[in-house]
Amino acid sequence: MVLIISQPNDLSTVHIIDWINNSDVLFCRVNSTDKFASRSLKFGKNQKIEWTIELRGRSFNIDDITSIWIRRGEFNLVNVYEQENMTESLDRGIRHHLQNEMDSLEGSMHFLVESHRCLGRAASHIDKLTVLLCARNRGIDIPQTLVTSDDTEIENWLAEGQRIITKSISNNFVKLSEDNSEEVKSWITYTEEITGFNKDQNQRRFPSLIQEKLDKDFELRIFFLGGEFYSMAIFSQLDEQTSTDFRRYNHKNPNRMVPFDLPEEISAKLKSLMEKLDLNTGSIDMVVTRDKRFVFLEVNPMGQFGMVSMPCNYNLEKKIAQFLTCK
Amino acid sequence: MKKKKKSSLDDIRNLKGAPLNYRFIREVESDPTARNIAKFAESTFHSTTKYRLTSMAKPISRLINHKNEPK
Repeated sequence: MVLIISQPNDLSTVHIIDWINNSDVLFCRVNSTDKFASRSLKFGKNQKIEWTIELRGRSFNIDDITSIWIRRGEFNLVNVYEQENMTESLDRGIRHHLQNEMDSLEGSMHFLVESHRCLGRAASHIDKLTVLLCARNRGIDIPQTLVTSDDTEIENWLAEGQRIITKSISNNFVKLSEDNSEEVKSWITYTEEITGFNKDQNQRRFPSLIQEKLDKDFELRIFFLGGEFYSMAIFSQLDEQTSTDFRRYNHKNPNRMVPFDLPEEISAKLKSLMEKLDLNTGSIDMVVTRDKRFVFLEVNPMGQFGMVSMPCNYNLEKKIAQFLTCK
Repeated sequence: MKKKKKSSLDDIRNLKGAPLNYRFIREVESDPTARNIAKFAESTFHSTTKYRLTSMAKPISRLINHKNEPK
């Protein structure tokens, strides 16, 4: 059985399920809103591990799982107090300890499941700054980067004539509006260029990520799967709306997106990086500058692949399903 | 306990000491077609585990005219 860890509204998961449905292999989709209960974990005398888990009233053994795809989210184990809605009535110290116990059990579950044929890792596995350092250590070009809580440093950088951008250290900040209008709106932080900067007087700032603004020729979105790179060039630089962050999509006049062959040198370095990060899949963002630098921005272990698959005709959904069903 | 204040877009942009990118927070300019598909997917898959007998994938495939829809 293929175990899929995903989210309720993830359309890419549906496309993979389409392909798995075309085989004889069973699948079990678990959304981030679902919770497992661990019924029994046994390390027996004969080296055999028996772990019975229960989901929505159905039990299965960890051995029933032949492969797993961590598309989005992580395992959430539920305990007896949560099932009975009794957690709030417990002493705070007890709650804290029980949570540690469950966290530890979830850690074991990740370890055991990921020792199966597993595609993807939990998002918490890596962070943007560590990845940048690992990339630089492998000879991959990265943007000049500053994480600072001191606005003077930002002012100084701008005074040197450097064009700079800011973005989140982790994921974009996304928030649903809380006004009373009928339509719920989403608010989001994209990558933004800093111009006309006024520093906060007498105020330390929460650490903020600042990078040089790259003079783009085009962007690359590269999907990595089974040791292969599937790359797409995005010509976002000529549209003011998308030039700093192509995710500010122009739906009326979309960016042109075409398949791209990575130079072998870049491909070898990226492969080395993915090995170091212990990732067998992920979406890599790069920029090719006008002076032909290939600059690495980040890798997302759970990145979107549909946006690469469809315009470039890579048929990645089928390839992922084949990986999971061992075809 | 003091009730937490709900933040407006301007509250977030002007929050003292916040990460610099908070100044630039924007409302998402969403694609109505994508939004409708996402809503449909969410309503279809809101709950639970789907075993292949109960897969609901095909209606969505038709919605987006998926050329490789399995039989």
